[in-house]
Amino acid sequence: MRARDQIEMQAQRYELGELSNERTGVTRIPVIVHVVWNTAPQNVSDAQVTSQIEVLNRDFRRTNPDVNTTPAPFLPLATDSRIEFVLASTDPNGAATNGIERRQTSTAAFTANDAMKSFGTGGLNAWPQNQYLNLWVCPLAGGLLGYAQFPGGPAATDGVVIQQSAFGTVGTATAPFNLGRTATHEIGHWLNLNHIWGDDGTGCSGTDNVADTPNQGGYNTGAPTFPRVSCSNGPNGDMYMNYMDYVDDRAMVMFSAGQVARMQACLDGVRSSIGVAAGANRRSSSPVVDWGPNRIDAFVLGTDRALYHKWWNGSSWGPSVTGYEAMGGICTSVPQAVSWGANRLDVFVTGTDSALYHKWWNGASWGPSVTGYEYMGGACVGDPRIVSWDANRLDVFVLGTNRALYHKWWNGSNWGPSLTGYEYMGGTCVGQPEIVSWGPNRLDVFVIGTDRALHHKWWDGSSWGPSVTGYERLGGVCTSAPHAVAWGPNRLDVFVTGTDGALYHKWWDGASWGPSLTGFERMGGICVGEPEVVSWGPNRLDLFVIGTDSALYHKWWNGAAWGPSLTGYEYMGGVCTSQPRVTSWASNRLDVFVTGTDSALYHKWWNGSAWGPSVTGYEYMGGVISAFKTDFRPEQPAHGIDMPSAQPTPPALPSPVAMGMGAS
Amino acid sequence: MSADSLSGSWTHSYEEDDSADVQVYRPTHAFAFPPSRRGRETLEFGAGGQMIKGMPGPDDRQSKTGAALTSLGMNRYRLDGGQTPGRVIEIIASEPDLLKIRMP
Repeated sequence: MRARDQIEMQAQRYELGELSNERTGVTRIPVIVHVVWNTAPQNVSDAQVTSQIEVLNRDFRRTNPDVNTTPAPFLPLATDSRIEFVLASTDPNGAATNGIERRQTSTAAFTANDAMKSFGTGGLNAWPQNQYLNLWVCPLAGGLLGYAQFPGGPAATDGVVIQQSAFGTVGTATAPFNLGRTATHEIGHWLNLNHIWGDDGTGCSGTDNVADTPNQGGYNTGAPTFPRVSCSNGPNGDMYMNYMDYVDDRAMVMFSAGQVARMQACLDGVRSSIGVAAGANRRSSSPVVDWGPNRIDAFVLGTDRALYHKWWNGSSWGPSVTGYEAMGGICTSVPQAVSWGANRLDVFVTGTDSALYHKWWNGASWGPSVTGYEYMGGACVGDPRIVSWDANRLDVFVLGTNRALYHKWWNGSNWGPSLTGYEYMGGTCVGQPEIVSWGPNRLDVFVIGTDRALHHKWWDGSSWGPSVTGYERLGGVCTSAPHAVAWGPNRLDVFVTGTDGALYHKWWDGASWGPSLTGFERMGGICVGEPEVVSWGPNRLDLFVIGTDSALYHKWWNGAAWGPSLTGYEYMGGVCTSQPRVTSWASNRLDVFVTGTDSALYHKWWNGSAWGPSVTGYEYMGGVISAFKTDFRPEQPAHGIDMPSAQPTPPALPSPVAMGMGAS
Repeated sequence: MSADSLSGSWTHSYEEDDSADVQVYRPTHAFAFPPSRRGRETLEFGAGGQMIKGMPGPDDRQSKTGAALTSLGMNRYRLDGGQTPGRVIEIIASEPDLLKIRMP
């Protein structure tokens, strides 16, 4: 038990605040689901598995809608655990997988003796527990819903076991255990949570080692009504609506802040090798961002070139489905927004003086004001691009009138090199820079040079490579700005269009560029404008392009293959007048925004199982939008959102003006 | 009734309990227990009056402890060893599909 004692001591130091979380963002844990079935109905469908993963991602991120049923005294304690789950995309040998493996067994029903965890006893072996959460789904005898193994136990049996009829929300899931909460509860144990009453029968002496859960007598069952008093814990009584009590699925809705501290202590400690920092892989700024699950903020320019804002708050669009919040300004770039934390937004535009301007949402109000902007100097060509590799960190890149790259940064307390100054980074760039961060203190910058080849530079935490002003040449003859995404640490995927209008791809796998340093993988199509790429999980890519018919097209990498094929595209309808803007606020979730021929904003979404409102349909979101794509140029008329033709040359840039970048 | 007449694995069908101290057990492998988040206690009777009691543990898995049953007559047995040594239990009913035990 020495290992368990050490785990407990470490957890208590987190609980007391003596240690703070090393994982500041969201940890995404790969899951392997071992389906061990005896009768055919127990061979739960992929959809049932997916429904369970979705429940976990809601419950552990506090985005479950029923969290609002938490009684008022306990609601402030309901906490986002910052843990997400994704079906494994790579098996222990490096091969692609869908994260589900199946076996028929002759065992009619298993008991809690771990037989389902070994091939030799009718089950399926665990995958390496330092990389995967093992989740067995099987028939269990005696009405047992599931069981777990605390951290620190034997590797071969590490994980959770769930009764097939208490798994997910569809298929064989049966009330009152049909909301997927059995897995939430068991994974709570797997992350070192104790039962909320302290496992001392009905006594008042046991503890769950968490301070903010009231002392409680025995367990609760069913769906209690508030308050339920025991152990002199009135007036609010037991926190029976906690995932770690024994109530029915519909009655358990929250983890407490103290429980989250214990789970994070477990991830920093005994389970430190598992999961990837989901929040650490940051895209370049975009007019459309999400600062958390089920949250979208979209920024557009109106015909008056002022900034306008609308948002999805999880249940409705604000200020209305077709309405926009006016945010002032006369902008000459597409608005670029990033979020470095929950309820935080930073928005950058250029003004009529070509200087950079900044505004921010701090969770309560807009700074410097709803319609005001912070002046940041410079004379910028095209859109600024911003990436945030950590909380309260911003890196801003712009092109100067000399088409060189310039950089400034917010380090949490000051702008560097100064509020209005810029660091010169060399180059002569056409098109817009693209910046992506695959981890803390890591930046990768992609630009197109005057030779139309792709060029790359990077910040490794201590210095710029290949040098402050130098670039790595990655080949190609590019007709679009590069678009890049990092789906995992030390992984980069870059997309451009070529002179034939086709999409081209190259990737960094942590060791080398594929298909070669200067080579590209051809992905077909005749693309108009710029591709858009997002990644909602490890080894997952979704690409959107506009075709010559102005319709939207989609392709995806599922970890094993390109869909619908390497060079094929899924037709998604529409007559689009902007490049697609896509954001993903959760695993298997996509939100796509384009403008139509009426210059209004249109929206469609993938909810994990289907496209809404339909594969080729769009939700009308109002507005008359004058800038939503990268290549908006102020000298163009306001209707300059016409799609650029698939011209083989990059768009012309405004002629340089006398004033250089502020670094001088 | 000797301790040897008790055999097999029995699981607590708590929904059928008569009172707080009389527990109803059903055959573990033959009875269709309703799903229950609260784990069920089990009793396994072996040769020579051995009894293994399974209790739902802090990770929802059974934790098992063994005890020896010594017959005291009148269907009463003393538990020797285990978590509650010296405890006396009384078998109120013993049928092929039902075991009713008073556990004061």
